[in-house]
Amino acid sequence: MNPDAEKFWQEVAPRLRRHLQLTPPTLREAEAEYAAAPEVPISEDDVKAALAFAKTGRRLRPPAQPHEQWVDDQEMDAVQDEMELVLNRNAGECDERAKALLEELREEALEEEGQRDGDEEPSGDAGEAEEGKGSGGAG
Amino acid sequence: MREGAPADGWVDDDEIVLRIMDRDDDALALMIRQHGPKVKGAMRARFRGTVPDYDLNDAFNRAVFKIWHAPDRFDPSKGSLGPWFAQIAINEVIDLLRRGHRHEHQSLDAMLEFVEIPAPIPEDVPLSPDKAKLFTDLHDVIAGLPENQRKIIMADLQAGCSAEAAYLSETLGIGVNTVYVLRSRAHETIRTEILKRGHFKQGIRR
Repeated sequence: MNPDAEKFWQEVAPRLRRHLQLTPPTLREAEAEYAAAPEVPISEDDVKAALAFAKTGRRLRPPAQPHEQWVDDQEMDAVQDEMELVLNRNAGECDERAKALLEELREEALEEEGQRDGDEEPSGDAGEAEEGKGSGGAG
Repeated sequence: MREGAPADGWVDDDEIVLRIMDRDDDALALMIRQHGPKVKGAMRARFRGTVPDYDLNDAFNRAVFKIWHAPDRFDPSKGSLGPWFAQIAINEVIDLLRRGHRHEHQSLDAMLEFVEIPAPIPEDVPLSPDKAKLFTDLHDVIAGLPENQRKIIMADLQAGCSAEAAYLSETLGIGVNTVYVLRSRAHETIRTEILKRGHFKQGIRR
């Protein structure tokens, strides 16, 4: 904090405030502000809320707003019988069926990959390139 | 009758206040419908860009609360109902900026306390060219501040003191310490720029 700047502000702020007419209004000033003010529409809900507050000192609860809109129906064919959606599970909890299914799928995938590797005959260049990458990564 | 107001359904201020004194809440609703749009307009015009609408609405409701509970404070010899309502509502916003807290957990007694903020002596003397230039420059410098610094300075001017840091922190979505830092930076920029523009060469004189 710069004390000179603070002192400077303390000196000029009241003058500026008065100049900008930001001081609390006298009734005469309020009359001028009221006369010059644009009209902001007030809904019947606003009137009800103000009346409720006047009588009870408490705000009316705003009507509950849904956080999200309904989504359109989704095409669910992609979700197979055995691929159950896991929607509400605590962290760390495990579904044995899902675990077994994942294991099964992993094994299937590994088998398919092994078959594909056996089927594909890599060209000489590609093989060298792969070897080059491998040795580079190891070194 | 208010100039330009529709002839049908417009009820005289005195009648509204007398009915409010008789605990007629229809009269209170009538007052809100008749004068509320202008009162809200005056609040928005004054606090635009500094105080969010939901706080202006709260201040508006608090003004209605006070009128409902103390309609006898209205003195028709001093002015009309709409401006009185506007004056109370504007003072409620100033009070919010000064005290900082929203009034959710206040007692009824505390809420009924009318905000008596002394109005300053009006400055009717024409401005000298130097003073006019100073105000123009101050206005320009403040307008050129980064957004949050500008909002803090405007809130301070509206509050008539440093507006509550916790309130500004919540409203602007920044930390309380950041409010202090930004305010301090703004003061420094204002001083530097105003001196650079040739004001106060002889020091500050009242």
